[in-house]
Amino acid sequence: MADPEGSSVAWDLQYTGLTDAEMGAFEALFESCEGRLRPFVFVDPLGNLLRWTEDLNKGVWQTGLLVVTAVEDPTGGTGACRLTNGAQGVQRISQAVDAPTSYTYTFGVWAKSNSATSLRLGLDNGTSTISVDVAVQGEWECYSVSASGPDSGDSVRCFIEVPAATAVDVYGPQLDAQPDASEYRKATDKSGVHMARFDQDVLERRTFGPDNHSTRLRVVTVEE
Amino acid sequence: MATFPKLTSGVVTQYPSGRTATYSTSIMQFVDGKEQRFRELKSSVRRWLIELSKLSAHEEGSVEAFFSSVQGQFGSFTFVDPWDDVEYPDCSFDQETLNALSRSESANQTYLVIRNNRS
Repeated sequence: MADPEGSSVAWDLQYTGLTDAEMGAFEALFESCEGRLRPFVFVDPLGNLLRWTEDLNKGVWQTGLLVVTAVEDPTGGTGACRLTNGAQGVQRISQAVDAPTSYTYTFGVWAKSNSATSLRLGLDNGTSTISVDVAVQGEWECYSVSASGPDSGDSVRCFIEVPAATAVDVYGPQLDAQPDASEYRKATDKSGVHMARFDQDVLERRTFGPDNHSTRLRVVTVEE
Repeated sequence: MATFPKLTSGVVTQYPSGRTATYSTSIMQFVDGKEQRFRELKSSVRRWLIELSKLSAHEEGSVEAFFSSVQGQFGSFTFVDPWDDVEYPDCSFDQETLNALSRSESANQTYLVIRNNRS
């Protein structure tokens, strides 16, 4: 007998070489949460922050494009989707993630097209948009764009824009909370943004010199 | 109220050293995975881990004399956090034994744990 909703995720994060400001920020968060008492939003540093990355027909994706799933992907599977723009203007597909805009994010995706075309990949934090135009050929290739935003926002939207009268295959959309794209991780209904708490009531700072601290944090997801 | 002594360099600790913040949270977990969490301490307990490895004989003697004057864990004193200069007026040693190792005239070492009492 199993409880499909009963899973949790835990992280064991060990830091060295922290600056005074970085260590102070960890201590300030720990004190505001009073150890294990209060939860906070935790962005999985190792996870894909998007949902339903191999079914772009799901409701988390907003689009005016025609989406066909189960298309052959670069790994030999059928995890890719074909995006077709039958309109006379550019159309996009996008997904919004409830995550702090102050982090640096990288949105990456594999793409190919039977006819040479271009795509626009972008990140929108509500106040500004960073995008890159990429040339898409007949072979699978990975493209990415990185951006960070203001301290005050709480939503990041990533998008792919497809030119008019164009079809393109895409695979492995991934949003990382880091400056570079990492290896693709398939995601379904669970996002990489979690409600979590510290899994420790003691926070230790070890200091080896100015701007040289180490600490260890254990974080676990919570059901709220 | 006595104050924790400084070394001749004007500091109270050497590298590496550490400090901890301790809370106490009671957690009740339910079958649906949800939790109810309760605070058991009004505020955190701070501890400072003072590692001293290059003490002169005079400095080591001052530390020992201070430890004796407050009678180990019994007495209390004022301690200034060396990381942020915040003064904690009611602290005690969190150890009954002070161990000191003398490697040479200017290489005496000891290890102290101090905690703040008032929460």
